Amino acid sequence: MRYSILSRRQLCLALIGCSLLVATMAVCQQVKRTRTGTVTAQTMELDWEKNVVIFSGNARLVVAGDYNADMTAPTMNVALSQKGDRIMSLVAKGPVSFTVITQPDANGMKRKIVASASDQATYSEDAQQIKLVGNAVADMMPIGGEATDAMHFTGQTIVANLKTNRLTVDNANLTVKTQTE
Amino acid sequence: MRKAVPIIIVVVIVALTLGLIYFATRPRERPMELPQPAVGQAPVAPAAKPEPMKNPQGVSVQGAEIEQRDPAGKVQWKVTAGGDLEFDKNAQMATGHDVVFEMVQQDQTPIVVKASEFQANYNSRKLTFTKGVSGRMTDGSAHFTVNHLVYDFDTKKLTGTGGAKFVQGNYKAVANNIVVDWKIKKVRMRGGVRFTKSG
Repeated sequence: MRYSILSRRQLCLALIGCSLLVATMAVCQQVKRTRTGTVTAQTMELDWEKNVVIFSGNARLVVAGDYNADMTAPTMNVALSQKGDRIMSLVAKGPVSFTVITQPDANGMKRKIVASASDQATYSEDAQQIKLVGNAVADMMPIGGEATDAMHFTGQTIVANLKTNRLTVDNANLTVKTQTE
Repeated sequence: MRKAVPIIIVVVIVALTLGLIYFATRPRERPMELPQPAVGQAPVAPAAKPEPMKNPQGVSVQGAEIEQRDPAGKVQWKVTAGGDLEFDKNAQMATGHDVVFEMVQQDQTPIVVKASEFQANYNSRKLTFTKGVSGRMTDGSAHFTVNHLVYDFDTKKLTGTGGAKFVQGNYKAVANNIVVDWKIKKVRMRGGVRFTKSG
């Protein structure tokens, strides 16, 4: 009889342990951030020896996740990792335009960046940055919150860091519009 | 005993008659006709007696298997059918069901294609795969599905049309058409390309 009671206790402990494990896994799944990237185009050419993909014809990249990005260009060249499981870089050629909704900053504020360049734009997955080259133009405006400042940048190159929500402009012109309520 | 003798004779005669009728009317298996060996040339008049191919070049149909060899005698591709492969000598066409197509390059089999329906046209020098067409790179790097797939003997390209889907790692691309060119190791997709990466 004593043996039977111990078995029940062990069973209860095992059930509690399993419940905790499942709960922990569920929390981890929620914390894990996922980002989905989709490219649409008229044609795609994959060189599976060099792990390079070339998109042409109204190429459009949409990234959804902790930030949202939308880039359009006539052609996009994507370099994949050696295993082909990661995007190492993306080069968009031609007139390029992109829109980014940044992740919230320390104050919880998101920003919308609308930018364009005449030559090309490069996107680095590791650095999480977009570099616009050639007559680069960018407008950055806050979304929500109390601040209503909007900034207009022009320069030869503009680098948008998606990790730090920071814009770097070479040969820059900066216009700040402040709206008062 | 003497009364039984006529009955035995009658039974024997009836049995012999039935046996003769059976052997005279039984269905006979027709020997399989072989295609003309020279691929790419105009079909020639059938030989008086079908013989196994002596020339290693060309196509051979052996039961449920077709293979194509290059001038050096190396296998370029092979199709194995789940059932019989039928060859129409006049139309220079072979058809089969539940086939496995193996492309052989440099003594390797880089691409394997499976399909429910198959047709080889030796006049146009093309293999056509339809219904449940799927292909995979044997190194496990990628696989694809498409509604209709054609292999060209000369260009060695696989051209697929309709509902093309190509998967490599955690990347998936869908489009209207797909071309797999093993010679230059490229996959081209055309028409409404959508390339997705998750994770």
